[in-house]
Amino acid sequence: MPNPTLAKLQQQLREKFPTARHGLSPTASDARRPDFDLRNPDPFPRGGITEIVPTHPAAGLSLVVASIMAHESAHTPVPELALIDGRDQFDPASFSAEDCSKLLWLRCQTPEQAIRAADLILRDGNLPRVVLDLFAFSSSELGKIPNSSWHRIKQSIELNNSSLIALTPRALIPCALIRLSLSSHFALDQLSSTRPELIEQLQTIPVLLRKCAQ
Amino acid sequence: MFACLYLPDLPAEAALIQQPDLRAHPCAVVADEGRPGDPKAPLLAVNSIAAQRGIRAGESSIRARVQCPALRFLTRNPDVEHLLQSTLLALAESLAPDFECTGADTFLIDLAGARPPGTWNPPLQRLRLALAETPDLAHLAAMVESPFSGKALTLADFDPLPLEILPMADAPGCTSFLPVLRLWGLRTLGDFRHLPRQDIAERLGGEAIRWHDILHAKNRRLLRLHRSVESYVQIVHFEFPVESLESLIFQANRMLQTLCARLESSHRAAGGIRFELTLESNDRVGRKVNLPEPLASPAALLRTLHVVFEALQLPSAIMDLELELEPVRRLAAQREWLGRQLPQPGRWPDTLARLEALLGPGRIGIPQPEDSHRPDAFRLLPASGGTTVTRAGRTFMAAPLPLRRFRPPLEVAVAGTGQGFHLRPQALLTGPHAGLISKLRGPFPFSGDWWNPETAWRRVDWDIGMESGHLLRLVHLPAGRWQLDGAYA
Repeated sequence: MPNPTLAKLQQQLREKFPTARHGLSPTASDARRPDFDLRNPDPFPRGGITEIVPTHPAAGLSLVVASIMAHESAHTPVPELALIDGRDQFDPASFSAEDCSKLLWLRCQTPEQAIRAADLILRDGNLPRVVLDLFAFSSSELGKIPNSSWHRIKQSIELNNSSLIALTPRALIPCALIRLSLSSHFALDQLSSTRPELIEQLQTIPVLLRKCAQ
Repeated sequence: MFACLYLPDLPAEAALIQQPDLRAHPCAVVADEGRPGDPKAPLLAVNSIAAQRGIRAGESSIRARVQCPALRFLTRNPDVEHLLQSTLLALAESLAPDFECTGADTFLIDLAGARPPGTWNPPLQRLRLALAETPDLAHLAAMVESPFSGKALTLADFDPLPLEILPMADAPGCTSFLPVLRLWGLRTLGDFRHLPRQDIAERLGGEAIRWHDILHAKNRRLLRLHRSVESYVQIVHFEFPVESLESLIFQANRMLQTLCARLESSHRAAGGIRFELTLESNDRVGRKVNLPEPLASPAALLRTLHVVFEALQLPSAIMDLELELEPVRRLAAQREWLGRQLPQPGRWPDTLARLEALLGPGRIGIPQPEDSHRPDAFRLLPASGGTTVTRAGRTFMAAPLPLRRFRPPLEVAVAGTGQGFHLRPQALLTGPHAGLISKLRGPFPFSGDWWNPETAWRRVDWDIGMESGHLLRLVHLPAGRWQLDGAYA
């Protein structure tokens, strides 16, 4: 049961600032909007943070990284994709040499390092896509990241029109443009399939969609 | 005008510094290669008294002893020789910036634009200074012991000097024209200088012509200028212990300004920064930051240092700060015209340097999997670009679901059926994923480097599914050890 005071306050804010927040989808029916497809060449919007939260331990979060790497161009002097690996868990042996060559890998140890690295690389503005992998950290570790850090990162992203894809164990980022719930569930038998087949089976549910200014 | 600094018989002078009472005796230094007491060992240098008695460097010890029974043999003292050379070098630097280190005991100094010394108070007793119009004439003038006049010697001043001062006179095995001149009855440089040049060329050859030109000051060769090695290190001892980051950054900025100015003057850039802090507790904290691209801007280097200093947690205040820049050549490369370029290429090296400072060495780069089954085999290529990336090196790929690798692997205890290396796991007893194994794929045995006993490795991999839903890679190692290499997530 929603709090009537809160609902009234929200109503007043909407009337006073009609263009402040568009498309907030509090209801489940609104959340399942079909305008996001991970199989598109560039599904992540520029100028905002996309947060991906798995619902299962084997939801295929690494496949999302593989999918992004597969769509990257290989003919650039410097990789256009940076992976800020929060707990240094990326395994180059799981990828081809060609895919690895499209990636700038930053091997962090702590959430603080990862956030500072993300801040530096996003403020630099040279790389259009950055993946921030915080999945391996516990909720208590991630809880120490102040919300102001995310807003600062968001401002850098908007300034440089880049995109940040954050992989988190739970909904964490208050200013995320899109929050996707990764609902696929892979079993041991599926390890005999090919990678493109597994990427096809990835299921994402948008739980938060804000209007992005592209 | 040129000056020549010359310390005759430097090895003998160095040996006599520690035995001054022997100065009144004829002394000689035996060459290093001669064994102690070896009668055939050649003489390296002799003092002035021995020279007056006809002993020359290069003679064998036994011959010199026969010639002068009172001759004292000295051992060489390399440390004092080095000290004397340093004194000569400092003296040469004080006279003019451009000079040639002609030999261990001789410096030729170009006095163009510098004021020639009016008086001469030699720091060493036998040190000579001579001025002349050309470098070779100055060198010749220094061969003769004469009081310093403060003026350059004229050509006529060389005329009364004996022919024996020409350097080739003492050179063993050298085809010298001096015997011919002596046969002709010539005794002084003036006699030789007044011979007609054309006739000398016809009768004595090119070497004699060269010396004839030198004595007429026609030959003014270029000096091989000596440049001392630039130091890119600065040390600051703080008057009071430094406790705040701002003070440290302020001092580092001043030091970087100086060091970068030195780099700029030699057209170089910094390839890395090394710093060392001495703490009040006498501990030392140091680190080297490798820059992805050579930088010469103090501001960019300071930003990198700022990131490192911010991450430092020191147990006590700082007493000393030492900074060293690693000089490297600047990069010169034409940008790619057809491909996509970085929107802000000027910022990129700076950002990479700061990331390197934040994460540490070897933590940022373009990963390249090795063409090997060895677990976690990869290398990192520089992130600054310009490196050829091998895109077709690896011919196989691991599981279709990428692994999230645990670094380091998690040691676990496993219950299973079977014996030894053929044990089939059934449950994880310890670790964060302890529980029953619901599904299993494997075994996948791997081994490598079996030809080298020190690096040989062997393992059996299992892909396991836990009841909690986790998909893990379990590894059985020799000696019954089990570990979790990673999770498929």
